[in-house]
Amino acid sequence: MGVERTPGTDTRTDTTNTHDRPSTPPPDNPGAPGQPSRLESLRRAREEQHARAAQIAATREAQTEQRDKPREDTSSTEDTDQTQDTPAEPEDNDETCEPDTQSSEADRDPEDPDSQAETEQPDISDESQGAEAEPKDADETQPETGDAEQPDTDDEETRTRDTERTAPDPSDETEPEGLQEHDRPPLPQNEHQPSNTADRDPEGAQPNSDETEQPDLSDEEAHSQDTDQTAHRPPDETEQPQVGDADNQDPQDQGRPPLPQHEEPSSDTTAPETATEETPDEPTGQAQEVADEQAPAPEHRPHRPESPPQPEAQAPLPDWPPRTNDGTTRWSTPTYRVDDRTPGTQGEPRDRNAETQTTNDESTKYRELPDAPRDGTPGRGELRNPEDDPASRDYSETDPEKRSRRREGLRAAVYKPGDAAKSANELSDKVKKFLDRPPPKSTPEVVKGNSPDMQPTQTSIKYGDAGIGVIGLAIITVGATRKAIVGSRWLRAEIGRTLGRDHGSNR
Amino acid sequence: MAVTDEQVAALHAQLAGRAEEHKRLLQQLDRAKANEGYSALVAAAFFEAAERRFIRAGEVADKAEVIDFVGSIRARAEENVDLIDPEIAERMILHVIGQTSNEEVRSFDAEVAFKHQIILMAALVGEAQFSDEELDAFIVKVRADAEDLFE
Repeated sequence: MGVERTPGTDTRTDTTNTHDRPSTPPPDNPGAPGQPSRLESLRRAREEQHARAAQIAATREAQTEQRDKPREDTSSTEDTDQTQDTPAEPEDNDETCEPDTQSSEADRDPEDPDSQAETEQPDISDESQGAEAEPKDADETQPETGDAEQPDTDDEETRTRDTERTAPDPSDETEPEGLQEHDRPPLPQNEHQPSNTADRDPEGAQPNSDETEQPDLSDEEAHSQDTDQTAHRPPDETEQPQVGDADNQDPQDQGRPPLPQHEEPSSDTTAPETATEETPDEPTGQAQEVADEQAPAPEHRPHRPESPPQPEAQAPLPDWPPRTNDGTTRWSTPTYRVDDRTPGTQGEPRDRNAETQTTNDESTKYRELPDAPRDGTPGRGELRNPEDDPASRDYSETDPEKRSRRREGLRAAVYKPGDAAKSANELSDKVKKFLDRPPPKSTPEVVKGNSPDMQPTQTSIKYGDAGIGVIGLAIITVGATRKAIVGSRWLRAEIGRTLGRDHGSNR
Repeated sequence: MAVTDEQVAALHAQLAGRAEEHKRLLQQLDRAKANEGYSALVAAAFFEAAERRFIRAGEVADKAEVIDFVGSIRARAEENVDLIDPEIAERMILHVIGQTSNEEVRSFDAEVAFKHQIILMAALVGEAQFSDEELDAFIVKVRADAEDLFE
């Protein structure tokens, strides 16, 4: 979320730069490969702004001088401090700083209309330009520096003025405290602006800018409150009580847990509150910015880390210079309070998001749990309680249902003869047979002779068969004799023939 | 207690093949109590023996096996074959294995059914060929079942 916001803040600075300069810094594209972090992009833009501010310093000084004059007229009612503060405000107005404009308007309303006209005109131009609170802030710091330079007094003078302001505060806070508190905001601003912007949705981001810049409906309320406060108070006092408020708030903030405050501003209702809270901080932040940032002129800006030694009164503020390096001062006014919370909150909201995600994951995890039957249906692989495992069951034990059924069957099988003993006695001898081991059911084996030889069957000779044989034999013999006779005759004949031929040939 | 030790001892003597002792113990029994306890012991012994014979590993024998068993008994009976009515014997066994209703069994004559129980009991125990320990355990189980009928 904060990452999304950052481009908005960066664009603001760019727009302001565009006002003052023809060239605009490269757009801040968080998440782009070229820009690894938002802080770096902010530092770039601020460095460029500082460099540009150095170039434009002369022109601004001239402008501030011109503006200081009318302001002196307006602020002439009271302290010179006001004159110094007021010139910063008209500069802011020129640069489209609403908080300053608000305070300045509140201060100026009772005063000359000329000053209002001067201040309002730049506001209108700013409004026409659109929501550009940050550029205003950046410009605010620069013109403030110009203001600080104009009096040519040291930052100490401005700080003493601030201390003089804070002195009458009911909080009775000393200078270092107020300065510390003033110093605190800028640090968180750098880190926290993204968080604020992140906490505030794109809608909320514009309203914030609108609150600071344009008097929108919701802004008007906040402005009305601010204007009421400022109206009741003289311009100097308005700033002083604001500082005091800021001081009062700061200790409270110290006592508070930073997280809850920072979490809440996400709501729309908190947006105007933040605006109201920021607006009082703005002048303080501006004053310190004017004192601290302007002291190191654009030329000295690279040496800002070294510049803190100049404000020795700020010795209790060790963090001041590095924070200025972060460029928090530019973003100070609108995001002032938010920044206070940011250092602790930047990581926390992410953690919270992560926690919520984890919780969501867990919740979803549990939600996604199937409603599988826990009893475990057999055959589906569900684990069973070993005690319920059928493998461990004792089959010898009969179920109570079975037992009762058996019992009923047995009860039905009990017969009560007239004299059971007598009946049993009668069967005592007969039953003895059944008590013996029953014989095997197989057929008895037939014992065969050991001799394996096969003997021919001896049949008695029958007479019929012998007559048939004799007859047959007689037939056979008759026939044989006949043939023998025929054969002998043939032989004789043949022999006679052969012999007769021989005899005849011999002849 | 309907089942007495004398009744149990008489049954144990009969199943152990001690016919003379069995007769002696029977004569010592109280007739009235014997009609209750001893008849219950005989029924329980027949029931237990028939379950062991026709229900093995949870599987119940079919009717053919029952018929075959009754036929074998009748074959052994020889001249006393008229003591065993095959239909009654088969139904009594089928009742034990749950294939006949209780009402059908109750319809039998008590004297005839009691004698059939004694014959079937003796045949089943003789086929089982219990050892002395097994016979003692069998008698304990039978007594428990018989006593369970009177609780």
